[in-house]
Amino acid sequence: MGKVGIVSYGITKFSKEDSKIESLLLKSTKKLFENSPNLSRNDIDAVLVSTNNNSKYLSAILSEMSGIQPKISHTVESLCNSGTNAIVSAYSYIASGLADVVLVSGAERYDSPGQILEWDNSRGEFKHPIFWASIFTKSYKREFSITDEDLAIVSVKNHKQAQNNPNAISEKEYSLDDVLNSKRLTDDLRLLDCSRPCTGGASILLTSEDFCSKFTDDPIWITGIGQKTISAGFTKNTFDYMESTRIAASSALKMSKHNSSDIDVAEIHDAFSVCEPMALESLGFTDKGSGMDMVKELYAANNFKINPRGGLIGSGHPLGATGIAQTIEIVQQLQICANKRQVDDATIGLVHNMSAAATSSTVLILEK
Amino acid sequence: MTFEDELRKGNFQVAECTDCKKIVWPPSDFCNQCFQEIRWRKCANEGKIIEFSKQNNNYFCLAEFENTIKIIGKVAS
Repeated sequence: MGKVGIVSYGITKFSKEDSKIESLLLKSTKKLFENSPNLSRNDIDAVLVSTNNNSKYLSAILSEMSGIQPKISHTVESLCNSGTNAIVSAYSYIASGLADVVLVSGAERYDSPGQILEWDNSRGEFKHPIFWASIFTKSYKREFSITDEDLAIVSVKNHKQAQNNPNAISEKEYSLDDVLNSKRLTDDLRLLDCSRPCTGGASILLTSEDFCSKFTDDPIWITGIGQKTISAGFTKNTFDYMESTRIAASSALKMSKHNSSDIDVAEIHDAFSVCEPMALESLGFTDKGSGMDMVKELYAANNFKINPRGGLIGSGHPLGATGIAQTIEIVQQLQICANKRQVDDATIGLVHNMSAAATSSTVLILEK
Repeated sequence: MTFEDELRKGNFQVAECTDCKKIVWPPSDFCNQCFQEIRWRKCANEGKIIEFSKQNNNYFCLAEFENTIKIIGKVAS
């Protein structure tokens, strides 16, 4: 099986703009083309769209608006980890030999229908994500003697880091008191503990090894992929760690022949504050119950290793674009072009993208 | 009948496999272990609160019934 590399990308600013989904897809695709002077429309074998939007046939629409007539063209949807699922599909098309050059474009509007999973009757009337997040937070706090003050540091850190990300929705830093005094959504969750649904688009170009050199001298290789889906329903979950994340990370690290200690920089799916320490533990970066110690140490040292672009909390969370935006961040970090967000000596990176309270997780390992 | 219709009437029903007797949860049309037919039956009234939180003055909780299935619901005062 040949190598698969990421050779270009394009991304929009994340905002609350009322843009059409088609315009968002086109905007980041246009930027990707502008970043790839050697890319011709005929090079592209497959166009995959990642979104939770209800519009149909978006991949064919994006292709037509971009003047591409691909062999393969379809949408990939898996709630909040649609983006990395689309990247994994692109990888598979290339690795199988069905395609050499694949464009993956993700986009979402602020009013995405992907926030609510109607099917899951086990959530009763409590279908909004703030309810699973409250259950997670309460369980995690109880199990590991963590306080609201501890968890608020995640939001403080990620909003701070987002100030160096020109595409982030967050435009200011917040203090610990700001987070703790922000609107109380439930006893265990405040407004600033939440990532915000928003409008945004992100596109990425993947190629087979033979085609990489046409587009870049600095490809970033996908060397590990791990995915796991435990269930669709929330209540079959674990509530103080992420089992699907643990399994996906283990598979991805094994495939890349690395350990979690080899990872220099990571984008973690911090849909809510509690998700960051839980994910750090489930990914194997630290022991169970020690995730907040790691977050605090990184924050105190001004170390951007985890969520350099500000994570979902700082950047905003346009569902179908998130996994692609996370991947673009790690690509920029490994290409040493992340400007003020740059993590020192970044050579191996990790992307963690998950859906619906970690009922499903994708982990990617990227390398120079 | 549907699960939601019965719930609206105050009846908490579960889908049980007619063959292997396992509860299929969330409710579905066939057993997710053996694809046999399901039948609807009343769930035990008593459950165990696994976790809880509060929105405004209303408690909600994750409760477990029959040591098997979990559901989020309101806690009536």
